[in-house]
Order: sequence, then structure tokens, then C-alpha cells
Amino acid sequence: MRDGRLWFLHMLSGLFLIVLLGGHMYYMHLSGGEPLSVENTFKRAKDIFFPISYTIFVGIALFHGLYGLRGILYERFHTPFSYKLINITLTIIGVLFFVYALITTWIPYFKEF
Amino acid sequence: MLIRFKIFRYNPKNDQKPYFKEYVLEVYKGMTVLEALNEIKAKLDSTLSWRQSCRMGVCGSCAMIINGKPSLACQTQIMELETDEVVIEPLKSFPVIKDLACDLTNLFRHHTSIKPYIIRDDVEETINPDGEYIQSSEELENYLQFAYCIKCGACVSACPISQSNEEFLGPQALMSALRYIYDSRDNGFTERLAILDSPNGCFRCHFAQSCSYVCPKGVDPAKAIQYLKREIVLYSLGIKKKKKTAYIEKSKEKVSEIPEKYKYPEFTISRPERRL
Repeated sequence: MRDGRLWFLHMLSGLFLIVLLGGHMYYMHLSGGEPLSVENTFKRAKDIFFPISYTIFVGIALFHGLYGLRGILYERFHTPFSYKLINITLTIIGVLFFVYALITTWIPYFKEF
Repeated sequence: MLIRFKIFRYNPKNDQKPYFKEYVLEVYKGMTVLEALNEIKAKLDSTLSWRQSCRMGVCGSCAMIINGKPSLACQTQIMELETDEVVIEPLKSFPVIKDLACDLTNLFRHHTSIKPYIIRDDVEETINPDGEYIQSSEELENYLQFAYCIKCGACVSACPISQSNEEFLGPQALMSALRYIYDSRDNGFTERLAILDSPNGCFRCHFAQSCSYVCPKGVDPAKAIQYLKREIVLYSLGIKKKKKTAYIEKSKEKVSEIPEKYKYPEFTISRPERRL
């Protein structure tokens, strides 16, 4: 994918992160109650809204963070080979983290406790 | 008034490493750094080297770092610096040839890579023009600011990305690309896209804006790069408006032969063959 499109997605993901982090901040830290209690954690795990929003959140956050890291690495290593290596490595890291996030998000949703 | 000049000295052929040499000079109101350099060379040290030509901020040859800021020596008045010590260094991001003269090959390599000329779809018209491209004053205003660049290299010297990555196109080349993209006579956007949207293209810019801060001609390369990003993103999303290109007003009478009074004299050297 050309840099222009990736950069645009980076900006867009940054915008979404503000909204999603705002929601997270409100729900987990400002709304009161005990969001970290076992009871509430299980309740959230069984509510379809949360696994879906977590999946979107982690996908966007991973893309945003790894694109930023790619920019830093591009400045340090600037040969066509290093660009290829950076892209492949970061894609693998991103996919692995995303799969790990999917497992930890969706298994509690489907599993009977 | 006596001013101390601390000048960067380095001759790669003889010197192990660069050093600063001090000169004290009597300066007068209105005296520029370039005039001071000329005076030092004439009276104190004839071995000092730098590059200069027009002495009036047009050629861009005398760009150097004066008290930490890339500036044109011919446009910087010593009194306006309001200091009794003037530190002069060569531009950063470029290899030093000798003292304050540096090798700008990289600047011009990047500049030529973005195809800094009018590219038209109608190739035949480009080769054998038979009319005039009509451009309104509004269309001229679109790119005029960016056409003031004198290619001095001050912006590239100030750019933090260019300093860490010499393959980065740099503010000068990117701004020049926009100058042609915004020109109503040009159709070369897609042709330039491959280099502008590459890993070393405009998306490496962090918008530090130091290029705009130092530009001696008041051009705003940082703004140009943001416009360029917008153009490329809109194009890649498929929502870029199709550009209305300047039409050609054909000559009413086809001039088959140039009248005698307009003919230029014969070349004194062999003329290179015209290439497309």
C-alpha cells in the first residue's frame, strides 16, 4: 500500500483512538462503581458490545502504534531492503498481537463459567 | 564597532577535523555578513572559502548558518544580529567542500527527481508549440508563493528529517513538486506520484516547520508539504477533483518562419540535439 493511504489511516485511527480512549477513560475510571471487580469483568465479557469494541480498539491501536514505530525505523534505516524488512517484521508483530488479543477477548465470551 | 567572527574552517584534504578560527573586524551599520567575509578574505585570511554570486538574495549561493540559523550571508546585516560575536558555519545536511562551501549535489538530485518542469498530456504540443498557455491571475496566485524558491538549501539544512536521512526528498524538492502540481499548465501529478508517495517522500515530514522559519525568501515549504499530503491522500482515496488544465490559445496565423528581427544569433558552440 502506498504511504499516502497508510498515513491517512494513521490519522483516522488517531481520531478513533481519541473517541475509544475517551470511552475507556469514562467507563473504567470516571463512571464510579467497581469496573475491575470479578463480577463486572465477567459481565462485560458476556456482553457482545465489549468484545466487539475491544477488537476494534486493539486493531486500531496496534495499527496506529506500529505505523508510528515504522516511521521512526524508516528514519534510522533507509535502504530499500531495510524498508522491506521493517514492513514484514512489523506486520508479523501486528498480526501476532492481534490474534493474541482476539483469543483473550473472545474466549471468555464463548466459554461457560 | 568591533565584532568577533568565529568561522568554521575545514579543508578535507589537509585537516584531520574541523575547527573554528576567530577574526576581529571593524563593522559599520548596514554591513552584511557577506561583506564581512569578503573583508576578512581581503585583509586577514586569504585562505577562507565560501560560495557567493549575486550579493542581493537572488542566487542563493551564500546560504550558511549564521549564529545557529541557516540564512543568506548577503541578506544578514551584522548589526541586526545584536551580538558582538558572530558564529558562521556551513549548511548542515551537506558535505563540506572547504570551509563554508558545501556540496549541494544532494539538493539538486532530489530537486530533479520530482521532475521540476511542466509536464503535459499533449506531447506534440509540448515539442512543437503553436500557441500560448492561458493562465489567469488566480491560477498564478495558486503557486506563485512556491515559485519564489532560490534553491539555497537553507530549508534542507534546517530540516531535522533531512539531517538524519539524506534520502528524504526534503522541503525544497517537495515544495517544488507542489509548485508544479498547482500550476494550471501542468498535468504531471500522477507521474510525480511514484516519488512523492514513496518511503522517502512527503509522508516522512513531521511538520517541524523549521524549513518555513528559516526560508530567506519567505516561502512556506511546510505549508506546501501539508498541501501535498492532502493532494496525495485525496488522490489515493479517489476523491481528488480533476484539475482544469490551462488551454492553449492557438496562434491565428501559423508562423512558419521566424521573422528576421526575432532570430537569435548563431550558436558559438554546437547545439545539443533536442530530446523529449
